[in-house]
Amino acid sequence: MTRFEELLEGKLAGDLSPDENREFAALLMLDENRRAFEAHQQTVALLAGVERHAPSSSFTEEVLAGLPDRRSRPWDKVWELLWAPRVARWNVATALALSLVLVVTALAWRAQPSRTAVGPEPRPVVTLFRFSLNAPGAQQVSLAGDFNGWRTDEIFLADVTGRGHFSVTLPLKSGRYAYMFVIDGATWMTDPRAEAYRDDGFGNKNALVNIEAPTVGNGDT
Amino acid sequence: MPRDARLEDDPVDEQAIIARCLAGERRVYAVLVDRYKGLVHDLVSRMLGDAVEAEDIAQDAFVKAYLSLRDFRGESKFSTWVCRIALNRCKDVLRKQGRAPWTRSGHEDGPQVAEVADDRETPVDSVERREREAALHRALARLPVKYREALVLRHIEGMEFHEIGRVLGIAAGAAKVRAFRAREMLRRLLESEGAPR
Repeated sequence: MTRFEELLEGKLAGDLSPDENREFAALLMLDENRRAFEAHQQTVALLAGVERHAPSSSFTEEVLAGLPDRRSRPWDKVWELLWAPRVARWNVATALALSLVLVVTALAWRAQPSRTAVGPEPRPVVTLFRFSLNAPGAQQVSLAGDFNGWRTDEIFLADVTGRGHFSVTLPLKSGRYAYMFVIDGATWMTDPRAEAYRDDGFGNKNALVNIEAPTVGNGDT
Repeated sequence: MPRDARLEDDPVDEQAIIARCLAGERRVYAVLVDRYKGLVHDLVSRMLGDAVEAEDIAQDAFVKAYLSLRDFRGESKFSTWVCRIALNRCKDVLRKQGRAPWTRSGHEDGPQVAEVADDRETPVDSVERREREAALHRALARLPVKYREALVLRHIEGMEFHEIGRVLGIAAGAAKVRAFRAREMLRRLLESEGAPR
């Protein structure tokens, strides 16, 4: 774009500084420039005045009808069955009967001579996975992904050697996770050594990691 | 340029809505659809030149955006993201059909121009306005897609250049150049038609 064209665009957007306005006014002294400016103004006015094409009144309902049910999986149904609020009808006789059952159960439990020791609850199995990135010159590298709601201020990689090799190890349950690195809090970067990628809808790719092994081990991006 | 009211949104609020959608509250998505359906529908309609087809494609874009919500990181606004998806759908449609807008049977004379008239408009004014809009739509349809989309986003939908850049996947400066060139092309096309100004 020429300087005049740049100023013209700024003038139409209404964001010229006072100095630029003076420069633009001087350029408009040329007939050719003035005619061009007027023509652009007319075109903008013409476009701004067009009637909107409105969607139908049933637009939103039709979109919703076309959405898949994210909670149609069997375990979601079980979850809903367990946690959905319900109304229970009761009377004094039922309450007395329930109390009696509880008392008898407690007495029977205490009367047992010995009980098998209950072991500790099994802990969820996780895999330790190391995320790493070579980013010489970076002051700070953070990790955002499915596992932390894509927060960029939560998981920071450490540059232990001071040579720009950042890494962090996370305990992850089995599953498939999308993630990205964020350099200096501003630049999103795809892991160049990821095992797979997925389009993020913006022309970039999210890195993917598949945590499969239910045993404790080490991974390395 | 005054910003279009439909582009005003609250990104914090949107993040909360998206989180609830991801948690399975499908009905909450209606808030986002209601907020941006006018923008997306109008954009698609300008790109394809067919209001009926625009309804389907715009709805598809919202469904596709819902299906990809897990990949939406909130780097840009939801409106930017859904517009990008909608424009990609438009390009698919135009590419598959190998056509410019408004050239399918029944639309040779241009799109149906809205019949909304100002109360103070005389019948002559009304006819002139409709002729002017029809000429404008024919000229828009003849613009190459990359210029048409920049022009529509800037001057009909009222987006800022940095936002247009995000929708089109180009720098804000490049979006500015495209809008400028597009206006010049459009003006030449309108002059060649002898359209009323």
